[in-house]
Amino acid sequence: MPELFRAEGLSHKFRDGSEGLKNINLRIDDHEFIVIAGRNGSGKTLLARHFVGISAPTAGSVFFRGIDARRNLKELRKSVGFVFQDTDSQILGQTVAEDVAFGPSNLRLSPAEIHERTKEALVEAKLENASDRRPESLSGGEKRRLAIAGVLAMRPDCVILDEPFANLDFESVQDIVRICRDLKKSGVTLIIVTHELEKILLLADRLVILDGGQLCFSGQPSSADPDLFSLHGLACPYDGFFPWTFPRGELTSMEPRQP
Amino acid sequence: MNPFAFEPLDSPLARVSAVSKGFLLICVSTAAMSFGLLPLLALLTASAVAMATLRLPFKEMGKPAIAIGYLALFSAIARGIFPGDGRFFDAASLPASALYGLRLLIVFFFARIYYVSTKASELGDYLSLAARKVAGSKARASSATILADPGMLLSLSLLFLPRVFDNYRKVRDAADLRAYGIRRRRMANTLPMLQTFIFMSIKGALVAARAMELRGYSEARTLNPARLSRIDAVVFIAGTILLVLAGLAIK
Repeated sequence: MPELFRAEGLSHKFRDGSEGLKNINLRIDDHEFIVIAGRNGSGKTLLARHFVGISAPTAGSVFFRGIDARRNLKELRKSVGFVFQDTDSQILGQTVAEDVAFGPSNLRLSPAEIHERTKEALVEAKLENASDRRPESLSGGEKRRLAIAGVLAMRPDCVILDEPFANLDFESVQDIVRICRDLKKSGVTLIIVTHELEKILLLADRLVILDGGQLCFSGQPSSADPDLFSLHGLACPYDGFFPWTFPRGELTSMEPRQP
Repeated sequence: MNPFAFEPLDSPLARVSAVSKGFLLICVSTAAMSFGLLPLLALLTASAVAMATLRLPFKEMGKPAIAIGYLALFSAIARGIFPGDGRFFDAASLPASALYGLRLLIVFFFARIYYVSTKASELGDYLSLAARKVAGSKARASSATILADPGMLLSLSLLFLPRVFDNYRKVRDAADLRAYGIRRRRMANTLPMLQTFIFMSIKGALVAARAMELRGYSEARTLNPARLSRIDAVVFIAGTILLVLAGLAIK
């Protein structure tokens, strides 16, 4: 498969001298479904920000389709959609439909094409009945779906979701998983940044684990050793290992189940 | 905080162009400031009937309307107090102040009708289109800033201001929950709140700016201003008639 992103010796040092990313070498191909996981502060969101060119490497490079990402911003913006964890701040329209139309209108499409894409994205996000509502009146789950719809309307080749399950109820999580499944089917490259592996890892082609800014694992999810998860501050999502499942019948202990 | 409180109302007014409605609002305001009592009552009735038939909500209008009462009261005090003949207050000045209050009320009603039936983005598209026409193609090619897109500036400011107030509310709630205000408020306690509030607001603005960038914001974005229809022509004619009548009333 053709290469989409390539990080070569990517490092990011903050002004206070701490290192956010240390010498990351990673290739992501077209049509892949990748989950980037790691404990809080491991650098997973920072890595995603480098992919979309909103953070600058202090060493190394990120390439998008073989060209330095920060020198290929025009193509990057057309092809890669990014959804922040904080969906409130990325809403840019007075109504739901206007917000979804924001991206397509920047692509200088015709009004008819913008309308069609907006409608399609709203249907995919199950927001077609909320198109005239004001975004601030939406629930947390609906706002997350709106943010995704805003990206989908640009018909990107790749979608990056940063902590898409944060603060969502079960039904909303299912909606996000359904959208991810649909995107995977349609061949869109998906990069999910999350530590909630039990919700999405089943769909992923590859798992990438970061810890302390370093790449610790990159491979098929099934090839990851159960101990690897706990070693890097993650709950192992494998059957029989996830520690927080509720046992049927009588509850005998409040202690998490030991693998 | 957002005056463009547009909700999807099932009314034909929402389908009238923002430009023609804006023109009518200017004409009504001009006429209201020059008409006598009877035409004013007719305008007031017309605005109330328009609101009722177009199913625009009267609710939420109470609190802002109180401000008009205060203005009328101020007008009465300013006009009537110490008339110079030894009296404390001249009651004969009250009708003029009541008329002033009525004029403000009519402008308020029509302005409300305008805001609840107009999408800010529609107005913004007209503004950006006008800016592009004024700048011309030469200037457009060289201007690569958001300043060339007043419609987007309007939309962002309408989004940003409520968020700033929302941030203030969150900071204040968090402080209250941690016993802020139980003792005398001291500057030392208020400053960290202010710092957090400013930080949150700046951070929110930066995230919005990044979201715009990531969604490929371009000042040359597609604009889709609504085309003027027959109903807009009717609105323009009505506005012009009001202007003429206002001119006659002044004479």
